[in-house]
Amino acid sequence: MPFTQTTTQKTDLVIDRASHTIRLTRDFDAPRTEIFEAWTKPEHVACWWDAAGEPLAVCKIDLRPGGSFKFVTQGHPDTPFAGTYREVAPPSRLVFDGLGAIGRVLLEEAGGGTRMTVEIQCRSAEHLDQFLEMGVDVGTARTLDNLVAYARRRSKVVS
Amino acid sequence: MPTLSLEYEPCGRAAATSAGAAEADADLAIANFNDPRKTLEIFEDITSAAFLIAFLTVILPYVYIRLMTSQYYTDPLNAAFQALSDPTRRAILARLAQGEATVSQLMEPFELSQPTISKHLKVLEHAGLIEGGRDAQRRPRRLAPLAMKDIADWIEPFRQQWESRLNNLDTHLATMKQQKEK
Repeated sequence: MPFTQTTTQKTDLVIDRASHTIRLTRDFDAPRTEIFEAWTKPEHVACWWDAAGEPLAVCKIDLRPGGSFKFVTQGHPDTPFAGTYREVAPPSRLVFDGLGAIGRVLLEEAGGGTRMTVEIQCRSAEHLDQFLEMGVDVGTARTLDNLVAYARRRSKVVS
Repeated sequence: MPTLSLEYEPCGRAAATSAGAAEADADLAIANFNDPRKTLEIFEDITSAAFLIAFLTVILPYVYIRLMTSQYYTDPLNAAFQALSDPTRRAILARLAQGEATVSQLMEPFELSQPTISKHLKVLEHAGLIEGGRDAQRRPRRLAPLAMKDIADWIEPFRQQWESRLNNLDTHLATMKQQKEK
């Protein structure tokens, strides 16, 4: 299969309906230890978590299995992303519960950099649907043009 | 059964025979209707007609519904996501986003056999993601705009959110690196 994964700067999103899992894959030009830190130290998480680009208003992290976390963006203070850590295994694995789903951050060395896989495993197909709709600004819904543009980008990377 | 095979022979002799047989059947039907001893046989005819009606109204719809609710006929979005779960099929869609292509045109870049490509195309067509002609071999396939729009509208905000978030992470990792070098 020559098209499974390719070196790309962009995020690859796969939805596995059978296991109710959303899987995001992306390669970074940074060592695993730094990416693990970026996910687990509040001073770092606060800098990148908000998709809007603003620093987080609140970022609390109790990094141990059973410890809790809470990320609050400036734009949506009423809908925090909060949960509990399940597994803390630097520099390769971080597992947590959040919004009723299981989140997994898997880091593996890849060609001098790191391949990061983020898995969001939902309880059911319905939960997966809700999850995709939740916390996302519906007003920014993109059209076919975006998908075609995205597909073009992908195919350029592929070919 | 040699007598049965005669009916399927596409020749004038067989047609003539069945025309004669129909006339004889009609005569027999009248005779049966007038003869009380034959009512049992007519009753048997009614029973088989009842079976036919039951088949058409109960069994056939049941089979149809079972088929439509099987894994291949779940809601369109579900079928679409099943189709999209395969990397080769996503690559085929990416290729079709550049313009329509025939099976042989798709075979070249993907280094896959014609049956394999056809199998993937069948799944994509089934999910309503692509459209194409009836002639499986020659007619070009293209993206089905409406189905793709449904998926795009639904998934894009989520993807965009993570794309932005991970772009931020990328930038932040570069900053971390700079700070460590200082």
